[in-house]
Amino acid sequence: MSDKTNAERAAEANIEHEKLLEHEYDGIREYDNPLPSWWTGIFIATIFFSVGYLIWYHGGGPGKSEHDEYRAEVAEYIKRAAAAAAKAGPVTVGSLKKLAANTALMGTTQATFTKHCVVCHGSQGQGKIGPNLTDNYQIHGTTIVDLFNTILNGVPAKGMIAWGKVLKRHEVMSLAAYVFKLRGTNVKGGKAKEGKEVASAK
Amino acid sequence: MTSRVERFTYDDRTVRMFVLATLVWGIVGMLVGLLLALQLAMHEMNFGIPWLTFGRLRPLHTNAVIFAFAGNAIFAAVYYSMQRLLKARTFSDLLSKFHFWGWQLIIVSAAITLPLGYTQGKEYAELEWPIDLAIAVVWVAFAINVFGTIAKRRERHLYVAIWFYIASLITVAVLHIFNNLVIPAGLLKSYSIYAGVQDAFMQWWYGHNAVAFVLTTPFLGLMYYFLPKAAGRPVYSYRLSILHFWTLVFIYIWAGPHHLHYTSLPGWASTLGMIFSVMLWMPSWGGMINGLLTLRGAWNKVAADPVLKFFVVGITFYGMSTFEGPMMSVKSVNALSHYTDWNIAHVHGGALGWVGFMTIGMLYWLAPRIFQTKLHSVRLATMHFWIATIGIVLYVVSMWTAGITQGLMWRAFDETGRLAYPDFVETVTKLMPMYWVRAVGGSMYILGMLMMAWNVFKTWKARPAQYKEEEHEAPALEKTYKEPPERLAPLTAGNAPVAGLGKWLERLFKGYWHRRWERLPLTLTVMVVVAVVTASLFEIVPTFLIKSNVPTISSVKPYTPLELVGRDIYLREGCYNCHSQMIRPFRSETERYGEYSKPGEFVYDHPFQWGSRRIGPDLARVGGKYPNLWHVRHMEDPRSTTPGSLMPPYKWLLTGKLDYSVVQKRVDVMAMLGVPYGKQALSSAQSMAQAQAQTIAADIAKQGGPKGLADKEIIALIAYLQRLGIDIKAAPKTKGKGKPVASAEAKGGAR
Repeated sequence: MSDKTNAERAAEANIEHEKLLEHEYDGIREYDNPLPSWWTGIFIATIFFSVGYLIWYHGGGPGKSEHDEYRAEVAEYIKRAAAAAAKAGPVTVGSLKKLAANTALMGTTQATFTKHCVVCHGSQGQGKIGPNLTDNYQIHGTTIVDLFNTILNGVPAKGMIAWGKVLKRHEVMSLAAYVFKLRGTNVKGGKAKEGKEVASAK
Repeated sequence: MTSRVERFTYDDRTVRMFVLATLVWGIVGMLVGLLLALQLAMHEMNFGIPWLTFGRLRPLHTNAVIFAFAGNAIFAAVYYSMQRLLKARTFSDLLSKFHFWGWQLIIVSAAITLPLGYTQGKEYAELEWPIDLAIAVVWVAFAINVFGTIAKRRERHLYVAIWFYIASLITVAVLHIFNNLVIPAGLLKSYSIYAGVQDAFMQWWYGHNAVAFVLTTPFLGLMYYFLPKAAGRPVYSYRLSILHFWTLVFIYIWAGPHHLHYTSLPGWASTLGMIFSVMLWMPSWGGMINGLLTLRGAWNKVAADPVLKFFVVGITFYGMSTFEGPMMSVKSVNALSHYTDWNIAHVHGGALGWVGFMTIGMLYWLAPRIFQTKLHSVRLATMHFWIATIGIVLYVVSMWTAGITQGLMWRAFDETGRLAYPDFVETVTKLMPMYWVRAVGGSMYILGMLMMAWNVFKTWKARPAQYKEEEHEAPALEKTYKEPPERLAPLTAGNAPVAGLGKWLERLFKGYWHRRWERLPLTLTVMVVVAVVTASLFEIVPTFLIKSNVPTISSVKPYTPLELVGRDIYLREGCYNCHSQMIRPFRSETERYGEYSKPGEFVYDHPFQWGSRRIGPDLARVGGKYPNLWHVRHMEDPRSTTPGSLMPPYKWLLTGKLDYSVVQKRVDVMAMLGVPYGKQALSSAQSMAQAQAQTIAADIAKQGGPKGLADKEIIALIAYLQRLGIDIKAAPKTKGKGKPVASAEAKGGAR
């Protein structure tokens, strides 16, 4: 016991007055110390908190259910989105064609196309899981605005994703312009034609 | 004490065997964990071999470390300490042998069946029904041994460690039985008798309490014996032991539903799970306080003794995890942490820190005693301590970072209110550096385990030629026992009611009533059963009886026979280990995955497949999202459709023949469970399945995909995936009102 420091000896002296219970198990003894008051205090506080929480949310208190909170969240977003769309104005054939004529923009849009579209439409838009984009046939509608809407809302029945959920509105606009420009490039080995014949982009 | 003195010895052979098993399975289980960690860091580590894929090995890892490593450690602790605390040799050496070999056989059968894909599809309850039965039998043998030893004890009162052992023994039995109630559909195939919301509830009542009564209470028992022994100091407070034991046993049971916040579980149940978890904080810390304060006056020993070092850090991690747990169970915190690596950080803080370090400390303390020599190297043990501690810190901190990063990325919106990271895979590739740090941390921990194995091996080598069986003496217990008088402060107010209450309160807090229970093991056991069962029934009964908990949706129909066997493939491959099927009511989730999940959508899901971690995206509404061909390409090579994905390829699904002969049997078992299959499905399920497979295969061929898939497993899996979450979209949307179905249960069945 000579390896003890003074501090340790003092600490032990501090303990020594505590009452040891008489029982002993395989040499293990126990002190009869009271519960630490902070322990009891926090324990009681958590019980009070729990009762309060239960009443607040399920006992007629003002707490909202998680579904009500969700509906509020959605309503708020719909309001904001409607305001933003009104501000941006409608998408027209003219505005989209103007984008198609912007060579620099079409260059950067190619990256977006490669990232999201080639998986289903092939590396050059020749069609793979999805239809060929390089022939003069369009399945949904005929105009460039129809292209925009198809990309924006998708075709869930056929597995085309609603890209409006993933991409920003201006990105979808650029993509519509980009796909419009692919039309009539007739890449070799493309998938067979589907849909109605439309005019080439040229 | 006029009783005659009896002479007896202790059985340490059983302890030695369990110690060896703890070491071996600990290293095996952790190595599997390391492989899984590497698979997440680089998908090539799946090696393209079915039984080495993440989905099949993750259950092996969890089962191995929980039931093999921790399980054997618990048995070693119980068999060593129980005999000494009760002054009696274990009830039956034969049962001890049966217990040991039975348990190892169960572990081996788990190690074979899980990688082969035989699974019940519920976390930590994956083992199929024949193995579950074997577990029950071995557990009964263990129980007879424990209660038999208690019956022939020479120590009147039970020490706190024994209370914890009893509580664990009883509760694990109850949990195991009720969560594993299944109807067999073959030798190694079964379906849970519960479905959907109820199955989820039962599973997490089980899952959470497996944490409680396998990974917590037995280790508290272990702590109460080995810590004061190693420190040579009395336990800090007997009264705290009593109070934290009973509050822990009673409150823990309620907390399970915190694993199901914001799911289709009714709101009232989720709230109960949360508030009981919050109330659990102090009862858990009671154990930590009693552990750490027992070391008062012995801190000088901690500096010198690796055993105490492991105990101190182990108990500290216990304190940390039991603060983190209640925090994560608070709904708003859980909204962020759920489905992320934060959970992985939390459980490994508990598993590596608390369970691991308490076990390791115990093994270093036991080794010289059971092998009756000196520990081979104290220095090596100290080095083990430092390496393992740094390993845990790297592990836990990297997973905290990964979890919070991913959780924040999932919910991030840009300035227009759209998802900032709409591509799920973006939120995965971001975590790669953290996955590497985790693998390094885990490797350090395993390195420590290997050092310990070497140290224990060398200690064993230095054992005496013949183990000495020390004889002990103690008088047998007298048949009669006179309670010592209660030493209460004298109350002089006579029989006045105030004094009566005061006396009652004093009795309560002095713990004399408990002292009585401690010499009446049956009373103590019955009280544990009452606490556990009462708490369980408070939640189970309403979950099963209140109709409004699961409002029916008329458009939700049973799976077709082909979809059903496809679902079995989903289970076999362990898809639920990485994919959830539960969309929570947050806009960040409904934007990404579609309308949030409704309880009525899961009424035919035996078992439920909500999952607990999103390593990949949620699949609750994947049905119809992609063309059939997309799924073929994706299973063949996930990176061809999703660059950056870390999913292993499932090429064998494209070549593996679908076993149509089992279809009818599986439909029949489902029908037995109450799934309303029509006449056609009950008589010709196989031909129905084949017809549906033809349609899907034809579609894939038409889209330009591979031909001749109609008899391949992938077709069934695609059929199942394409069905997920679409029933609710079919008109009529709801019963009655046009509002979303959930509104009926929105306010919950709280009253």
